[in-house]
Amino acid sequence: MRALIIDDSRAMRSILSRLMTGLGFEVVTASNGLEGMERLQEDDGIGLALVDWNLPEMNGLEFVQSVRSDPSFETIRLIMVTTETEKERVVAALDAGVDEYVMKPFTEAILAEKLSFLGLLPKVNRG
Amino acid sequence: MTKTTPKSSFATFRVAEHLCCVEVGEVQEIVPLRGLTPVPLAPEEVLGLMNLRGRILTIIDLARVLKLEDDRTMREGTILVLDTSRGDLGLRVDSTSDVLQLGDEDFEETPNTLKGEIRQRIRGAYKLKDSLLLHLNLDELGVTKGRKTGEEGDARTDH
Amino acid sequence: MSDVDPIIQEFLVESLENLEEVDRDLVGLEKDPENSEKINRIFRAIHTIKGTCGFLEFSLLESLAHSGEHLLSKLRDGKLEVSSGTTSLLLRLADAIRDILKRVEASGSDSGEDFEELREKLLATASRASDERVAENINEKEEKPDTQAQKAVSGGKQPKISLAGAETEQKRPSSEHSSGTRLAGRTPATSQKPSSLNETFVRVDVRILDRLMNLVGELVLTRNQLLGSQTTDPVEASAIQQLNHITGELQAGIMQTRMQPVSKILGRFPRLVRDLATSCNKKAELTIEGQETELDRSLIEAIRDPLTHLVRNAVDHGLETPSERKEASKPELGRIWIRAFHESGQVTLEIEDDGRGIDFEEIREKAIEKGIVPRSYAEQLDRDECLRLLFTPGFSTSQSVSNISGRGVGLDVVRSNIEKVNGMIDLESQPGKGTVFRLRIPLTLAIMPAIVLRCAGQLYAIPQSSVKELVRADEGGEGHRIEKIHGAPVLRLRGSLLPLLSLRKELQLDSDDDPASPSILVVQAGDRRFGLIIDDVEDTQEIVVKPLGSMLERIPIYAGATIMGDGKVALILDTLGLAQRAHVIAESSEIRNQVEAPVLLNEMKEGFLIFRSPDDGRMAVHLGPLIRLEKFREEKVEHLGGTRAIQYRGDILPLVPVLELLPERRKNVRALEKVEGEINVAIFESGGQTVGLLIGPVVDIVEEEIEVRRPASRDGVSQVIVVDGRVTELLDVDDLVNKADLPLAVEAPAGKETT
Repeated sequence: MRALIIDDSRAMRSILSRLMTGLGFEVVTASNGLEGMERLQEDDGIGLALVDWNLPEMNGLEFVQSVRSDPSFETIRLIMVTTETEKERVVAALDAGVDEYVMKPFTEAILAEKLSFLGLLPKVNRG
Repeated sequence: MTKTTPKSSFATFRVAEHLCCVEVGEVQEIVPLRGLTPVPLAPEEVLGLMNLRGRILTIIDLARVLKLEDDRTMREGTILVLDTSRGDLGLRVDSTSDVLQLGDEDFEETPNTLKGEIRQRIRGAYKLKDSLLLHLNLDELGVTKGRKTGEEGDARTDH
Repeated sequence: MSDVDPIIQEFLVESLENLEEVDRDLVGLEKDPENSEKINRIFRAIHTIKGTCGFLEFSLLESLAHSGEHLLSKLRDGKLEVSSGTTSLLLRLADAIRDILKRVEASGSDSGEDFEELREKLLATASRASDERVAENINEKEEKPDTQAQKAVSGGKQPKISLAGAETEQKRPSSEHSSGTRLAGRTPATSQKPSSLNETFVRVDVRILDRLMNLVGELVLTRNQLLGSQTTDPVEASAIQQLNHITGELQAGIMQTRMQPVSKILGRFPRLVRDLATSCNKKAELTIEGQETELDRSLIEAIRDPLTHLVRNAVDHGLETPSERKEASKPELGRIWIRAFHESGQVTLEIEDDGRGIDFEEIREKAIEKGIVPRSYAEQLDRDECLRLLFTPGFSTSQSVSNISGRGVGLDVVRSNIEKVNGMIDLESQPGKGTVFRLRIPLTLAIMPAIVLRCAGQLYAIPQSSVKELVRADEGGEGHRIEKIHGAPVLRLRGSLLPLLSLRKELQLDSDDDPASPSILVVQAGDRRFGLIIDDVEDTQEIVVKPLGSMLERIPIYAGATIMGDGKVALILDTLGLAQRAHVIAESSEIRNQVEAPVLLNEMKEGFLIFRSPDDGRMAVHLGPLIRLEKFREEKVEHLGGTRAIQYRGDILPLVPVLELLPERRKNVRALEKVEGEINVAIFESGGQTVGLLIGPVVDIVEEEIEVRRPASRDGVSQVIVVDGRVTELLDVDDLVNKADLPLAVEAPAGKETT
């Protein structure tokens, strides 16, 4: 399965890409919400998106709202990447339709747990 | 072959009666000497500049580096294009020879019989059946500091 | 460096880039404290650094960034006002983060100085916010909708909302809340530059680009060889044409990849201006225009220092203090502009300030006082020329050496740095209004027009931009002669003495005797001019400049190497390195005073009308005020009282007998004035009056740069100059006209008196 990573920081994209490929995903990236939408539209192999909250152009919440408003993206799982300081917003994110959230910084194990919770990770890959 | 220590490949070549080598991996390619442009004021080891497919390669003469002879005439020769810590360098040698597999058991520290400049420029030697193979230290191939360039440079930047 | 994890490398690069933007935005915020877009951007940058640190385990940096983020969130949410205090604090934060990043780059770890005091200050300032502002808010009637929305969240439920308490929060969203929050999130984005292109870019190692550039250079040469081969086969010919075309496009494309926007170095200037202005108690605002303008990357680096120097100057010397500005009824806030734009194949950079401007008369006096130019010369200079004296070595305008710009380097260094990359610098200034420095920089250094010359059988290249002239020297012939002064060779060229350098000798070539009739390149390098003796000029062509390897780069006479059409390598001569040699020679042989005539920035050509004077001498007048040159029959001269005049175009033209008016040496005057019954009259405008100067036979009209000037030896002569190798007296027309003591009647609406 391909995972879409949306973050405006190159370094963060690299970090997340490394984690996700380590967990056996193929990875595509985008640097803002708008671009993330484009990726989704052009690549129907994407089954999961990790989206940062703070993004230029279209922020993470808007991205989630816009994915959820399009029935063709119904099966796409959304994980909001957020930080301690933003946790109050998690509510809004969950409300908008994210499937999971993960708080920065996180380890591969934490990420793997969230993913397997969503049934996205074969058990073999864990631990 | 009985006991095998890990062996490395060495490119061997001749210069003024000496058989020398560097590790194969240090040699990018071997090209004939042609179209040399002399560089006035350069250190005496520098033969000149050569165009290697658009790259400008500084050619140094191994014989002069090792102070093996005083013959200043430009000769034919072969250029080893080397990847050194100071960038690419072309090393003029008389001729190239075989690639040899050599292990540590054949190696010895710089032999006492060797005298002069050459001692400073080699890592050690390998004993072959009928000769001694000198392992050049590429880091020391660069030109002796100061000398002609240094002096000129300082004098000129003074004012 | 090389074994740093590429992700950390990426983090360092990205964070440093972001910090530049932070600097810029912080400075911008001071003028525009309500700009939520800027606050958001700063917040995001610090937030990202903090977030990334968590993964990379830079806990010290994480904690520092966290405290900054905390303060920023207060500013963003309107709980704290942006003030110069918060800005300074955040600028300090940016510096501290930069320090730590450098540490990470060097050692791979963030441990070391922990900036604890700064961290505490950030937190303290942030916590002050919550108490004060909440109270204030109640009194504020008018608030922006976004801050209002934010406050609705934080003000109502001050404690952080935990996930458990989510439901209560969820019920709250009246339309105001949810739309308000979103609005706040979106505003910054819409007006921001589209950054969605990010992913269509690939990061490429610069060495690969350099290598491609080399290969393209090679391809160009191969193409040139093919173009030179005259084929008759039409198929081949068209293939060559096609190759020609593609090669050109490829070359342009590769050059394009090496281009970088000037924003790369302009980013830190808002901060610089702010800090400088603060330190000299001035108020300054910087406006940058055209920062997307692109230049070759090597040039971007080369202009960094000159640009910094000019911007420092603008703040330090250009702008007045707020009180001075007030007195001059200018706004207290001084303004500085940096503009970058493309103009006729070059990039122009302007650094302008609206400060006190430069008084060119003051410059003139100072130049004379400091002995930079002789008085007689300085007095001839017009306004722009005076201003250009600023670029002369040893000139510094500042009254007292200030701690900002007065670091011993002046504009001459700026100029020579710019000229090093084949650029040009000029300035304009209006007293009271401001000053603008203008830099013109070539788009690329990699390819430049050069003169290919031959010396002792080898070809060398020299940048065409520094070669002013080619002169052939003949021994004993009519041409220019090489002379020796104190053993040093000089060339007498139109009256000035040019120090000569023999390339053969400089290169210490075995055959170091110059040919009998060598060619001499007149080379201008920085403010120095010298002649370079070579065998001959071979060609002019565009060359691809390549660096010399580490073993040769210290030889100051070479600037690099290039590959000629035949595939051979040719060395490129460094004119500045050579100029130093020439200068050393000139100085050591004590001919400096005779040689070093001041050479100003641009060609200083002047026009002269040259005519014969008694004793086969030469005299000249400036062409400037000359209206026309006429010959009249002697009989047409009329005498009106003591004055001679002639009827000319319906008017009376009073004649000024120049030669008679000059003291002494009057022997052959009459004889010279008329030749075969004709007189030469140069019609001039002098003091609002049209007069005819009676002059000797005209020798020539020349336009040239005068490098040797001496004070005049008699009245009526403004100075003695050397034109075309001849000592020539330059007449002071106004003075002579005064001396002629023309009757007022003629001066008035002429004609009536005579009828």
